[in-house]
Amino acid sequence: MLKKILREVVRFLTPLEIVSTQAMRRYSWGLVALLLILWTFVKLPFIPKFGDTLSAFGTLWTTRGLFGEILTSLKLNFYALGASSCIAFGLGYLSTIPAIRPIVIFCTKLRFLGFTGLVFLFSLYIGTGFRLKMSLMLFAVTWFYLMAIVAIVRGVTDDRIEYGYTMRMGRWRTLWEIVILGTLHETLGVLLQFAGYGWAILTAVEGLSRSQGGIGVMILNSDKYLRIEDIFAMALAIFIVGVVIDLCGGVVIRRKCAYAFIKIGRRA
Amino acid sequence: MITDFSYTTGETLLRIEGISMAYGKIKKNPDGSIASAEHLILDGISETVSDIIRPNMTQGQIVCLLGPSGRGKTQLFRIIAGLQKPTTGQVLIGPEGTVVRPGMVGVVSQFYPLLEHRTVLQNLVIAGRQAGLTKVGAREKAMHYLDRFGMADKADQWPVLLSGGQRQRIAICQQLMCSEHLLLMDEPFSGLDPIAVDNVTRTIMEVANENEKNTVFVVTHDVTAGCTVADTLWLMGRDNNPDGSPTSGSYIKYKYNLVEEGLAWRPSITEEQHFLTFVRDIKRQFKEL
Repeated sequence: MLKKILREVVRFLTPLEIVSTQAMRRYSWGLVALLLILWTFVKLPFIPKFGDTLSAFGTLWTTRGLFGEILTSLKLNFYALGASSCIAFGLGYLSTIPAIRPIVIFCTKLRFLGFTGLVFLFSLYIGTGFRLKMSLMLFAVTWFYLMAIVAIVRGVTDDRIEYGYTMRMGRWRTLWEIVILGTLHETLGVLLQFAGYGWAILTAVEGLSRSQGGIGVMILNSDKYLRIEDIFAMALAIFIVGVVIDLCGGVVIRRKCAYAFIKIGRRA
Repeated sequence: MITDFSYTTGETLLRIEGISMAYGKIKKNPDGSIASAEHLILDGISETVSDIIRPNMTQGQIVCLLGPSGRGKTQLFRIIAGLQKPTTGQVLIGPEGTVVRPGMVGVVSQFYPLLEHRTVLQNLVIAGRQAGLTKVGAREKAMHYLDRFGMADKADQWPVLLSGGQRQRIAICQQLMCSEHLLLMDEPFSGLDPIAVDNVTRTIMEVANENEKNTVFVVTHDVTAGCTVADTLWLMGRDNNPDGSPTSGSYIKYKYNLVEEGLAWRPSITEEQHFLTFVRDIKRQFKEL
């Protein structure tokens, strides 16, 4: 028995080793359990215990409207993700047109421009509240997002494009069939990545414009009064919501692009 | 078994008119031909492929373009497919002499590309729709090809689940759905074991015999496989300078009609002495290309 366990341990520590999905799932849940045990029983300075965090979570949920604030933040994130997806996908695919390519390349360079100093300018032009937060989110996410889409589009080889022509497809049809549909599983993967990225920076954006609340504003308020248990509870909520978005998005992509997830031979 | 090799030629299927391909600095003569070029790849290739009519037989033909690596086979392949514009000359399709455009000639490249996001049947239907068929017509034609090539049970499968041989058949069917009886195959025997080569040979024969106007161009450097499958053999090469170095610009240096030579494909042809002698001669010639 001990030999068998040792053999399994060695397998899990060997690079490129193939383990079954079931074993990997068991191992992952084991790690989660270990983390929770450590969090529950090991005392670290400034880190509230798991029980205290859960209790703070309960209070926030029942008395301070955590659920409503999460919904407010989710709404902002989805609106921003929708708008940035339209811009990134649109410009990304249009980068195949020579006249538009330099404009798109310029846009991708805007990712080096942070938005912190631009808040005042944004508020003058766009106003405050939801529209300001939305535009800040867009500015923070879109150019990185566009960069990722452009990389996928440019990764389509000339052979693939010519393959479209051999089926009598014109330029626009080839763009649709080979570039857009042919890379859909990759671009949807990028969308999911940026849903996570948007969710992670959302709290910072909400902090820059506090009107209309949101979970970011709640965290900043707790931060002001050094309610460390509340901060941990909200961070835990943000983390769980993020993981749920990731899982749900993953399921949708696997359903829509099943062909891209069929593995033959080695399974990791 | 084919015993009667007699045939007559019918209408023109494809005409290659003075194809040259050059890169770098090019100087042209007043008539448009190349006077000098920095890198001359193809030098004035002119060939005609006509429909072959054999008595009491429905059979297409197979033209094999043989030549060592670096002789411009792929360039010529791409020009015939309409994927690349030659520096001079043109490729004309059919008896009307329509200048080739991409899609008029089916192209099956080495790695058998398919639309991975569509099922096998959808892959064929989309090609048929591009050729102007109705949805129902494209579906019927697709099912006909899938039946003909023994792939009907794979209609709803994703391409990623197909084996190499199955993938090749689907890629061929897809191109047949939208091309006009002409099919180009790039290195179909590359990296295959002898049994697989035999299977590919049979597939190519099936394609040719599917319609008497079907003409398959096989581009390869595998002499034995090429001679096995071909009705016509084009050997592509260059001349040599007096010092033995090759001149620039390849052309069709030798042509063989294997039907006239009595070497039309039959199941046991690779074991016949006449065939083995012919292959040995071609291999010897191959070194001079």
